Amino acid sequence: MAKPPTDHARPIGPWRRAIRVLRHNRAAMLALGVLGCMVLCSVLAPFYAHTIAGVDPFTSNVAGSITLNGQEVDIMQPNDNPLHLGLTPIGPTGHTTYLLGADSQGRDVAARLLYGGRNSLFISACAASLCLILAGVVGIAAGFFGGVVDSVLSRMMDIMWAVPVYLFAISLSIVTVSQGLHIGPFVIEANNLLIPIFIIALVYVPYAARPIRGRVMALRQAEFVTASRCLGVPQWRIVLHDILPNVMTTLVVMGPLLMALALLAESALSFLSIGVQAPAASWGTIIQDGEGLIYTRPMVAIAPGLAIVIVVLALNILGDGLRDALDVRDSAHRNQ
Amino acid sequence: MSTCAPTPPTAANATPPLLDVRGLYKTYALPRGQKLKAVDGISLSVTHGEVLGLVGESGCGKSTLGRCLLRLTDVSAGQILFNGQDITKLPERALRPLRPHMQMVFQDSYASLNPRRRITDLLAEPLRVHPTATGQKRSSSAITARLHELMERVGLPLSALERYPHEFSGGQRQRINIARALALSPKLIVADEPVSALDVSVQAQIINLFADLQAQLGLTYVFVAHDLAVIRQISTRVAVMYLGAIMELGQTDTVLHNPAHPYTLALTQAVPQPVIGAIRPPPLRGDIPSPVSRPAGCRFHTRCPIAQPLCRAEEPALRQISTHRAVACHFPLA
Repeated sequence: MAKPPTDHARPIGPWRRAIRVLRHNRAAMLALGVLGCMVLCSVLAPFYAHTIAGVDPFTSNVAGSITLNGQEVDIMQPNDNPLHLGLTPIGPTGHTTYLLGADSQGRDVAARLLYGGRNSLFISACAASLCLILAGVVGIAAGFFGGVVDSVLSRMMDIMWAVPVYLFAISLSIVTVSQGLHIGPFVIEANNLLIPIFIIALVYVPYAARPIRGRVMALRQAEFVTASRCLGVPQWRIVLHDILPNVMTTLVVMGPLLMALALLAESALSFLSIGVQAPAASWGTIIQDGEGLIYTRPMVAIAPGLAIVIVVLALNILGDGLRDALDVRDSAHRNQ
Repeated sequence: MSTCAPTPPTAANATPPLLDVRGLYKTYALPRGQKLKAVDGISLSVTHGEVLGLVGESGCGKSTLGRCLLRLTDVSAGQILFNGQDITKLPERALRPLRPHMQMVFQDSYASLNPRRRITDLLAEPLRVHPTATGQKRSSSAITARLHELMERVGLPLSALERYPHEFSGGQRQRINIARALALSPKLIVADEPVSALDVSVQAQIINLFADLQAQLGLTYVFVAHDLAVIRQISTRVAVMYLGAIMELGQTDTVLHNPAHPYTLALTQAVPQPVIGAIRPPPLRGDIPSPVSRPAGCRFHTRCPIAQPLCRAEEPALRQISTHRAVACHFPLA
């Protein structure tokens, strides 16, 4: 008679197995650690600004001064050129106050970097999640029901696909930034973070929906779906219990990659002043602030640029790790 | 076309056969207007409590027929009567109340179990979906009790319920599939090559399980296989299929020991004999022709060792040669 497979105390579910694989992936765990640090720093932004640096990163401070090594130093200093014309914000000080120097309005760049990280990370995470939800609905509907539903949804996606992502996002942003967003009786103000979240989520839907649709179409033909039909399971239950859990791996793998794309899009929009609105900060707006200081105080642009690079890199490595751990390609026949 | 319906042995009985198939066709449209006739005019009936074996080479349409019988694929033409009720055109929703009575066991024991659900959820699904015979929703304690009973029936320990499909061997997974098919106490089970993917030693166990369950529960099987040894062991009647049509139909013993159709004879002779120096006739020439452009006349004439000019010109109908037996051949051997 058949014997039970009883070597392990608890049954090993597919998710537990994936986490186990991920734990042994050093690069992915490092990326996860880096991301964790970034998030933690951003969350602690008010603490840093008020308690450690003792600055207000949102008001212009061109006339102010700080005390460094017992000396009073102006935040805006005369230029180094022979005529001493014009003013340049203070550079990196090496102290907790104005660690990375000041921007052209005399605000602490380090503190703004952390506040900017808050907005950038929050917007990209929310946009990626919203995009995955929308793409999941579209992809599952198109892939599972096929026929007319698939034709209509797929053509809509194709139309969106035909417009370059950034151009699409910029067009939408310009309209909403100037007028706010009116949805029926609700008005979302132009400076609300929901606007960039909605726009970025929307423009990436086709990119996420297409692979989901493909996966669902394959799953619909899977024998366990036929088996469920044979058992008389209603369609909504098939979608919920057979399709969704198997598509979840695809969604999870896409998550970090989509968040990286969303972060880049958010930075681009904010750089163009049509994302996060002043005086609020995001890594994109700080880069824009640093653009004019690129020859004298390059750190203003480099610091947020570096932050973007690090986070995008970490997200991509994490995404690859998740792909390996979840083995999205052929989870159906691995154990044959 | 072999549309002549053979009279089943029990046709004289008052009760209708459990499954009655009349002139069934399943055609797939191919590019450039071509048509693949996977099931090409099949008529047969299955009576309560019998085991009908479907044999044939791969690609002869036996699995497609099995899926058509349960309406898992749509039928192109013909009629399927289940317990006297025409289910050929029933929409999925109207079919659902009948689903508990007809179940399937699939060939690939792994692909037919959702890898992301525990066995307990896989087996409970049909019980959660279908109400009891009196129309009541099943309580969770009733479902648990039923699951325990099912595990005992198929010879698996209760601890297996908490595990995932990938934690089992092929034979154990097939037991799980059988348990799931049994969950709703069906009348008919279509088994689509349920043992062909298993080791030979495990095959015997699973076939014995099928036989035991049939004896205990009075089940009716349509048992698809390409292995004559399997068919001989389990089925009371056998239908030999070739290129989407039935070549010979009759009691298993008679058909396999005394074949009337040259194709059946060739199949029985192709089975390896465990006898030293056994003289075996030459195997069939060539491959099975494409079902897209099947030969005119008798569909078997291209490979038939005794083909005559008549065979190339005219297709033989499936006709009765004795009370329990029908054959589609102009020159039957028996």
